[in-house]
Amino acid sequence: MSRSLKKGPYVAPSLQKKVTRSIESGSKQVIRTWSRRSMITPEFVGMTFHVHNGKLFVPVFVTENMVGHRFGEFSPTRKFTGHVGGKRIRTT
Amino acid sequence: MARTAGSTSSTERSPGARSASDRLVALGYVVGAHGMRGALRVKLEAAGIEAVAQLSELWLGESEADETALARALVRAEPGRKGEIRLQLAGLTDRGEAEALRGRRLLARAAELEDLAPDELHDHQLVGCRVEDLEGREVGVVRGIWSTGAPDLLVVETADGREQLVPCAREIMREVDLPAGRIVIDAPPGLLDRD
Repeated sequence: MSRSLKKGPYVAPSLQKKVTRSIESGSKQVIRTWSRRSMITPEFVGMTFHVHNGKLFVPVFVTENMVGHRFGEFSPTRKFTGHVGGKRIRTT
Repeated sequence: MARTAGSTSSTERSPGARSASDRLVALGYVVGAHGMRGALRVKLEAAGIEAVAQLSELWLGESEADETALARALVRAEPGRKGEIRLQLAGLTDRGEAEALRGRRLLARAAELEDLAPDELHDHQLVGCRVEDLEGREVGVVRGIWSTGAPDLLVVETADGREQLVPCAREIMREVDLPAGRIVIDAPPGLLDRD
């Protein structure tokens, strides 16, 4: 069952506090979080987070198309660096 | 979507015949055979079906550095199972021959890959580049790329053997000088372990 719209997106209070403090101070400090279930809101765009994957903190630079997703989606718990080949990388 | 090339002959190349400009990059690997006429099932990792279908020649080797990789003209390319492409290559006419190639890497000439937008790079171009911060202090050397769904991460190995992850975002990767093999990053405080 989906979350009621009237509640708004879920963001862990501790994370929201860090984000608000960062925006107010204008700091670009990377924000460290364990809250993988927090939803990415528009005010997070352009910020960098360290999202814990159970072992290490994975840097997540938030872009517009990530809004509405949750942090855990961008911090894989299994690491496969893959075979470097002809894959295209966009410097967003 | 199928592509048919006129040539049906394979183009064997002698080992060591590739110049630096002919550098090969891996696109995927052979997972098996399809049908009885030597078609290959290839799992694509680094390119789309459309990009592979545009290529005229492909190589099958153990790795990108494999000088004995077999060069084959592409006869036909069509979509296969999820994430796979079926390739008919010149000179492969038998299922047994195709099955013997299972596990081989599918390689293509880097210069032949499709043109990139101004803000795009091929991942193989970044591997081996030195990473520096804005003050010119060396962070490390790019050892790989980690795709996480967010902007890809550069896996940077520092001088003391530790691993640092740097997002491929314009706000962080300020300068990419490919001829010099240098990437300048503006790491926000806390991104690197030394901060």
